[in-house]
Amino acid sequence: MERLAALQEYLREEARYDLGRDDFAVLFTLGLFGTLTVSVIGFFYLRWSQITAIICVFIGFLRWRHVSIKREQYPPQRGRRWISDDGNTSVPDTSRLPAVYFFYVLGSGGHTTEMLDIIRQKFRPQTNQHRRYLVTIGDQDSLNRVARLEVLIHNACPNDTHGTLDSFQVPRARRVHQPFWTAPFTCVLTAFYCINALTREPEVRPRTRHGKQFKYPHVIVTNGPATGFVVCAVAHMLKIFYLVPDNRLKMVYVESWARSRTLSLTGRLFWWTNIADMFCVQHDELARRTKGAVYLPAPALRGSG
Amino acid sequence: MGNGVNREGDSSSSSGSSTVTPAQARESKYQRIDSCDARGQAHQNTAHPVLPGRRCFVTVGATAGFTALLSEVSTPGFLRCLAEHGYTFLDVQCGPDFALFHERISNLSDEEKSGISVRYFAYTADMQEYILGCRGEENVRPAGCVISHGGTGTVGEVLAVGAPLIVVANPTLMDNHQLELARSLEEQNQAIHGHIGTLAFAIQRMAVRISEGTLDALPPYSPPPFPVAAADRFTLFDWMVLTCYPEELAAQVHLADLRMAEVEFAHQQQQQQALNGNGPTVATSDQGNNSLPQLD
Repeated sequence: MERLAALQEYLREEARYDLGRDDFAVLFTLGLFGTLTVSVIGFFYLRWSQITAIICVFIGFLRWRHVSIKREQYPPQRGRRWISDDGNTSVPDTSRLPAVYFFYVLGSGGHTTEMLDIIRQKFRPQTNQHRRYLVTIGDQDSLNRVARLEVLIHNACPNDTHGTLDSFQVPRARRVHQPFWTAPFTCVLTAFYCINALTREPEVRPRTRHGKQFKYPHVIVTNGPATGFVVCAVAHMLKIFYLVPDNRLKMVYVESWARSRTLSLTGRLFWWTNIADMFCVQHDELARRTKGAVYLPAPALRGSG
Repeated sequence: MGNGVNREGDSSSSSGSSTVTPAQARESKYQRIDSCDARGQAHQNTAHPVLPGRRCFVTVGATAGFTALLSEVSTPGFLRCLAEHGYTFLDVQCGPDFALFHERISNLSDEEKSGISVRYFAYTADMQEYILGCRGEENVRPAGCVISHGGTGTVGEVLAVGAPLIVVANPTLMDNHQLELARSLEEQNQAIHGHIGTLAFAIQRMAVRISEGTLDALPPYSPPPFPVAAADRFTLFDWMVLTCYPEELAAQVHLADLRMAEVEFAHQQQQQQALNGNGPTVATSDQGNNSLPQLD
């Protein structure tokens, strides 16, 4: 009980957002405004043909970076083999790596429950792991549930093998029942907060001891919520502009197991943009219908047989 | 089936009465423990311990409201149907529509409530407690049912516990996606797909399912082990971490390949042994049968 209260308090403290302290988001914003200013000035001094040429070069650069990032990605066949590798319990062994840093995007209600199920199903005790939970502002329920899962983890894993954790809060990308035409604006707001959450080093893993190993998350795990797509889009942009090395911020999208025949809106966005490094669905039928999807059996359905 | 409920005073003597059918006896076994503690105690000594009444838990989830379900649940007709099937408790998690449900329930007279004690609240931090109350357990409580919206959070929790489940899709959400889940659960026989307007029918179907199966007499609930067994663990996410370290990934992939080859080799050798030892008759059958003679 004490531990639960302490963890809840810790998560609440951690989740406080403070833009002034952070340099990265400010830098990014300044860069964005700088680019805007330059382009406005350029609009008056350049000819149409020159503007078009610059825009074409810019789009070409984005496209080239996107393709070169995609080229390093592992194909879904690889993912299918990694999932069906049952019984082969000694690999993969990540306990010898310098850092294992997971970034979990929690939505609300059902999304959180599903994500916590996945975390429970994938957890493995080791000292070199750090978990960061991204929750939406005002979602106290999710924070409490995370705290309860963490108590379970802390009780089950002695000697620091439970690893470290912290949490961040961002505004919601789209509230339930929010009209779709307003969603892009709230998404932009969310995006600015996400830059911070993705690039701030965890204070519990100080650079003096771990170097830059914990600077960026290794794997972003997300399911259903629109916030998840915003986070991944931001992560992809950071990689495109060389702000984060290519071998960080790998994205795993897990489609909600509510979807057995069609993809959800977030799922379709991920599928069209193809930014996720691994695209998992939790129903066999949907996996067969969706090209490039990997079938990850749902923990909830598996439990009941 | 409704007979047993109307004769409230007779519940303790039902097993002694010669006129009741087995179905009635079963029904009357599960009622009115809240009003007859002393008689319940006396009854414990006979063959059937007196169990509390069935419990129904209605939940609409944390995020969005589901007014239609709450309205249906608070009709006298539905409550009467619950009473007829041996239910005595109704818990309702109302979400944002708490005020509406409160108003509807307060307007019902005691007669319209059919003797069902209703508890309701907006949210709860611990859903599992309520879900467990609906799970039948041998000599503790009979199976009730959870009536849930089609959200994966609630449905997952209920399926993990193993309580009987009726799923009602909330049609007001994006693409009406809950319908898909409700249908697929019904197809896989893991839940009953209920519809607004005919919930009483779903309760009836659930009663049939409970009386046919062993839902009333499940062993005590034990939470799943944590950390999960190594064979059940999702390793995909660890592999994804390894993709950040290409050299380490190559080494681990090589290790995995070696182990696979080892397993395959052992498997082949076993087959070869079975072939040599037991003659051609065993060799034609599959692997599962091959291992049986060795075990004996």
